[in-house]
Amino acid sequence: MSSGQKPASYLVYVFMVVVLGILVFALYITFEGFLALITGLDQSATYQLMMGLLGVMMSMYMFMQFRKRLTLIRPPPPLSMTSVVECKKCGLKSLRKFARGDFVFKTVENCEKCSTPMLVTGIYTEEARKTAL
Amino acid sequence: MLREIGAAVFKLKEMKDKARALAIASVRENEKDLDPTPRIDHFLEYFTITPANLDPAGIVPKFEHLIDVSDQRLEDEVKIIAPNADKVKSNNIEGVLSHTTGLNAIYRFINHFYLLGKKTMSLYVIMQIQMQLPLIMQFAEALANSVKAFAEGQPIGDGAGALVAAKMMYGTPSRKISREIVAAETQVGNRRLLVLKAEGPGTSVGKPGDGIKKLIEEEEGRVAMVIMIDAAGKYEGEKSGEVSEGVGAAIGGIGVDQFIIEEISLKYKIPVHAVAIKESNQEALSPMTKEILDGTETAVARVKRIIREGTKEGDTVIVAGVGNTVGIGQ
Repeated sequence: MSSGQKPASYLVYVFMVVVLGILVFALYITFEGFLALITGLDQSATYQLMMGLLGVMMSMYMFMQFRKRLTLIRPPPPLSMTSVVECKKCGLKSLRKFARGDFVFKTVENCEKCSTPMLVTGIYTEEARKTAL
Repeated sequence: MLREIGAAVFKLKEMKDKARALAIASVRENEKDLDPTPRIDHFLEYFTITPANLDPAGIVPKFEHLIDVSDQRLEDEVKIIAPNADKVKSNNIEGVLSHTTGLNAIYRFINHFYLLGKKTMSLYVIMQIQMQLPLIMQFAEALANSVKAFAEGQPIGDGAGALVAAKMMYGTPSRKISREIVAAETQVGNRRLLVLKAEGPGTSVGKPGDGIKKLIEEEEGRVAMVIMIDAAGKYEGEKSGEVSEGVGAAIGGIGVDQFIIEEISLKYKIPVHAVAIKESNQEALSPMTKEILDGTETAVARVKRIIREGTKEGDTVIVAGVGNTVGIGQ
C-alpha cells in the first residue's frame, strides 16, 4: 500500500478561491465602512462595517473548519521505526533504521569490534501514531 | 450530527479500503500468479456467532471451541490464498486479514446507522451512534495501525508481555507446549523458571491458558507461583510504559484463557501474580513506542523481584508473557 498522499481534488482549490474571494470582498466592505465613517455617513458606515466584519468572521470560520476537516482526512506521514542492535559479547550497541524482516532476537551482521554476530534487541518508534492508514 | 457521522463513515471507508489493499499486497508478495482479491473480499464479510447465553453454565468450552474453529478457518483460508508463505508470513497475513475484517465490520455498522438516520431522520437513531462515535473511531484507528504493523512484522504495544518473556527465556532452548505457545526453562536466584510466550516472530497470541495448564499438570501441581505479564489499559493522564503489580490472571480477550488459568490455579492452590505494562488501547495496537520498550526492562526487574521475595530456592515458578508476539522472536 502506498503511504503517499492523494493529489488534492480540484474542488479543494475552488473552495479556497471562494473563501478567499469572500474574505477580500468583506475586507473591501469594511474599508468602505471606515471611509464612510470618516466622511460622516454614520448610518451607511454602520451597515458596511457590520457586513464587512461579519464577512471576515465567516470566511475565517469557513477556512478553519475546512482546515480541521482536511487534518482529519489527510493520512499522516509514515512512522520511522528504529532497530536496536546489540553485541552480547562486547556490549556494543547501535541504532539503525528498521529493515523489513527485522525482529527482536534476530541475529544480524557481525560486530565491528569483536566480529561476533549481533542481535536485534528492540524495535521501536519515537512518536505515537494516530492513524497509520 | 449527521454530517459528523458522514465524515466518520468517509474516514472508515478510507481506512478499510487501505487495509484491504494492504491485505492484497501482503498476499501478492509471495503469490505473484494468484489473484487473492475475490477470496479476500469474501473473507472480509466473515462473522462469528457467539453461543447462546440463556443458560450460561458451560459456556466457556463453547467459546473455546468457537475460537478454535474460527482460528482454524482463518489459517486454512491463508493456506489457500498464500500457499507458498512460510509460517511467519502466514501468521502476519492472518493478523492483517482478521483486523481488516474487524475494520470492515465497524465501517458497515456505522454506515448502517448513518443511512438509517438519514432515512428515518430520527434523532434517537442518529444520537445513539453519534455519542459513541469518538470511542468507536479510536478503536478503528487502533485497528488500522495494527494492520500496517502486522504487514511489516513490527512489534506492537500489546507485545510488551511477550517481549518480557522473550528477554527472560533468551539463550535457552524452547519447546512447543500448546497451540502457538513455546516454553523454555531457565533459572533466577536458584529458582527453576518455566517461561512461556506465543511463538514468534509472526503475528500470534497463542493459547497461554492451555500452555499454563499443561506446564502445571506436567509439574503435577508443584508450582510455587505463576506470574503473568501483559500490557494493560492505562487511564488518561497516566504515563505509558509504567509498570504496576497485582494478583490474578493478567490476560485479555474473551475470557476463555483467564477461566482456564483460574480453574487450574484454584485446583492446585497456586498464587497467580500479575505485572502490567501500562499503555492506551491505541498504543496496544500500534508499533511499540520507546516508553513501552523501556517499560519491558522495568517489568523484567519486577518479575525477578517478585520471584525472589515470594518463593524459596529450589521452587518452580511459571512466568507467562501474554500478548501478540509479532516482530518478537525467542
